Amino acid sequence: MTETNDFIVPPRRWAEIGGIADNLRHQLGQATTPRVPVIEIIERVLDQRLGLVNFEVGSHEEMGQAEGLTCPKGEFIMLREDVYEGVWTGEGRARFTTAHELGHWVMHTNVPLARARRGDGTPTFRLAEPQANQFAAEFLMPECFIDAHDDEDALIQRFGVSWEAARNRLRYLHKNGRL
Amino acid sequence: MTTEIGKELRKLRIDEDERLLDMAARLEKSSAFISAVERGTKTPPEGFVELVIRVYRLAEDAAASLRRAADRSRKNFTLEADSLLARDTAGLMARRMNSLSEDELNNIFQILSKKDAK
Repeated sequence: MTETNDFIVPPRRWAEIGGIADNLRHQLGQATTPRVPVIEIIERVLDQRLGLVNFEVGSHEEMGQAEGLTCPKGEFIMLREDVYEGVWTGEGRARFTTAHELGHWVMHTNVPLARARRGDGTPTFRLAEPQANQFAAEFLMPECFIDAHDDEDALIQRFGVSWEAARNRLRYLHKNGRL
Repeated sequence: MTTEIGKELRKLRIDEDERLLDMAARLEKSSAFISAVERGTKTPPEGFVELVIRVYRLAEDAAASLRRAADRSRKNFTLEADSLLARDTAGLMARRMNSLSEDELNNIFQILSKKDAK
């Protein structure tokens, strides 16, 4: 997301977000699956089977720059048409966007939100967008399936993510001494 | 905050175990269009309901309830009047429509429903 608008949400440690993503994978029976079927989870399971959320698709005219949108009350998750079609064909960037919206739905619905702007001094662990990105990374690329020999291509193959997402994930894990 | 036709369409899709993508492909529409009708942000154009009935081979009951839902979600109706008499009649009906009492409307509805059922 290139948007500079963001929301202040309850603070979360990155490790805590990893835990939330892991829990959700467990609950959905996906603990041992490296390539998690993220759109199946939202459209087929959370919406069609469990009725927990309405999954919706918006046109470019409706959504403009926004690739995804999650209702602050948790009533719906909406993807822009091109993202929706992309995610069903397994496109990496669309998978990340979808997981990002799932992160908003899991962490940022029915919580107090305050407007903020990227770079206004609010620490990233209190901002909705970086939290949702961290969730997407943890949900799509769990640490337990990654080792020190892996490069970007290995992650792309294993998890169905984009090169950029793979690079960011490896950087994060190396920087924090996790690999 | 959706419409009756939106609710019915979504119900049909979920009963058929279809994704937005699947229904969009079967009806040859975009997935955003199907979703907009389901959400009630778009009123389906003329012929859409008949297309759904045909493609999904809906039985008479289901078809009738879909048509009713579509009618209930509409505010505007288009009449093609192709003779002078038809135009006069349509104009008269259009002007009278909003001044009819509940009883009068009921009465007309009964007469037309009976005729429809034959």
